[in-house]
Parts: sequence; C-alpha cells; structure tokens
Amino acid sequence: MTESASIKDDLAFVRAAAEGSSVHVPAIYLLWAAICLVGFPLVDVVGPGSSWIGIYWTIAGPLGGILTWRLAVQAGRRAGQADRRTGKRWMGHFLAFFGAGLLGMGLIASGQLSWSGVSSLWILLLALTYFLAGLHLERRLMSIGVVLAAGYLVTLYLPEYGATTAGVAVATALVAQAWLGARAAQHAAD
Amino acid sequence: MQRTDPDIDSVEELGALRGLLEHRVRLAICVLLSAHDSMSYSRLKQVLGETDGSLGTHLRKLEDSGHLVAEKSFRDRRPVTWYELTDRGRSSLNEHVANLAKLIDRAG
Repeated sequence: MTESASIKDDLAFVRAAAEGSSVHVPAIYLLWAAICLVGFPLVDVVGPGSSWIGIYWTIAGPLGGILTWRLAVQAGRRAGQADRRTGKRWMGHFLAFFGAGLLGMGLIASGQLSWSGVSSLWILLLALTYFLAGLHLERRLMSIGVVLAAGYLVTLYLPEYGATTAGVAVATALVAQAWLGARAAQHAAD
Repeated sequence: MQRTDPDIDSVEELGALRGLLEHRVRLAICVLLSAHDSMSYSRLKQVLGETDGSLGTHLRKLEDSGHLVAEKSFRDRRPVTWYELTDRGRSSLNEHVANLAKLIDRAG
C-alpha cells in the first residue's frame, strides 16, 4: 500500500470509530413524542389563548429537559463514556429555542400577532431548532425538523386541527427515529 | 531518489506525521477522547474493535507519553478504567491533524 493510500485507510478507520461512538437513547425520543402528543393538540382542544397551554409547557418543558439530561447521563455511563461538553451544547441549543419563543410572545403584547399565530410561530421555531440540531448535533433530528415545518404549514391552512396534526406527525417522526436509531445501534453491535 | 507515491509532494510534511499518533489506533483513541470527555476501556474496545492486548499496549504508550490519563473506579463492584485526554494530548492531536490537512491539501 502506498503512503497516501495508507493515510486514507487510517483516516477512514478513525472516521468510522468516531461515527460509531455516539450513544442513541430511544427513551429521550419517546419522552418528547409523549410530551408533544399531549401539548400540541392541547392548543386545538382548549384554544390558542388558553392559559392551560402556558401552564402545560412551563411544567412539561423544563421537566422534559431534566429527564432528558438524566437519561442521557445514565445511557452514557452504561455505555462507558461521559459527554458533559456535548450535553452543554444540547442544552444551549434548546435554551436558544426557548428564548426565541419567549421573545416571540412580545408579538402578542405589541398586538402584531394573534394567539393562533404565536402557536404557529413556536412550531416554526421548533422546526428550525430540530433541523439545526440535525445539522450540528444528531443527524437523525433533521427529518423531525422537516416534519415540524410541514406541521407549521398545516397550522396556517387548517387552523382548527393544525396543532393536533403537527403534534401527531412530530410524535410519529420521533417514535420512528427512536426505532431506526435502536436498529442501527443493534446492527453496529452485531 | 525514486518516489513511491505521485500524490505526495512533500516529504517534510510526511515526516511531520511520524510519531506516536502515526498509528491509526492511537490516533483514533485521541480523536475519540477529544470528542467525548472520557471513555471507559471497554467502550474504547467496543468502538475500535481491538483485542485486549493490542488496545492495552496502545493505551499504555499514550499514557506513558502524557497524552492521556487513566482513572480507576468501580461500577456494580467491577473495576472500570476511564481515560481522558490531557492538554498535551489535545495539542499533539491538533498538530497532527493540521499536518494531515496540509498533506491532503497538497495531494488535492
């Protein structure tokens, strides 16, 4: 083997090792599928301006974040690796979404957007957040961002059931990715 | 002197790649430990697919040269050895990757 072919071969080995070192945690996907499956349709059930939506997400959002952190740490320990820096990147990513969403609420206070519009805005921001997480953190989240973007469009043209449709679609996408990830991890282990 | 590889123009750059990280398993260990804060021996063995003898030798070389540190702990009453990249290991890896990038740039 020539020197350059040997270097290419070595780099392919290193790359395969790096790609095979991420830990997939299906429970996190299932957790957020359950949270979205309740939280999104709530908008259609109680109405976009209801305080129940705020109460639900104020509790479910941070609780989901804490549970996600715990599940990730436990899965990492079981697998035999610690990823504190990666955990902080994930936290920063989703806190940015939460911050942008809160700033978006100012559109209601200033009378520039209706409650229904702000619900769609949260879904659009979540679509962007998942898509960017797919680009920078975990590739399989990219498709969930696309599903959410489609859900956002549904909320524009089918306001009565838009949030429910988006919720069911994103929950299905999360469950599908949980399963696909578990299957890929199983294949890698075999 | 007859060149063995037309893709490589700079013997100097190739020379810079010699050393501890020349071996792909040691390079992969450092890359993995730069991406993750710490990894256990069994996890490294699983990801790299190396035998105990081979992996142990590479880890010892990296530890002896100050590229990584090992820490022993217990989980379910079983000993677990955790490895972490040192500052020296990180800068050595960065230097090696920079040399590789130069070489790849030159090879087009």
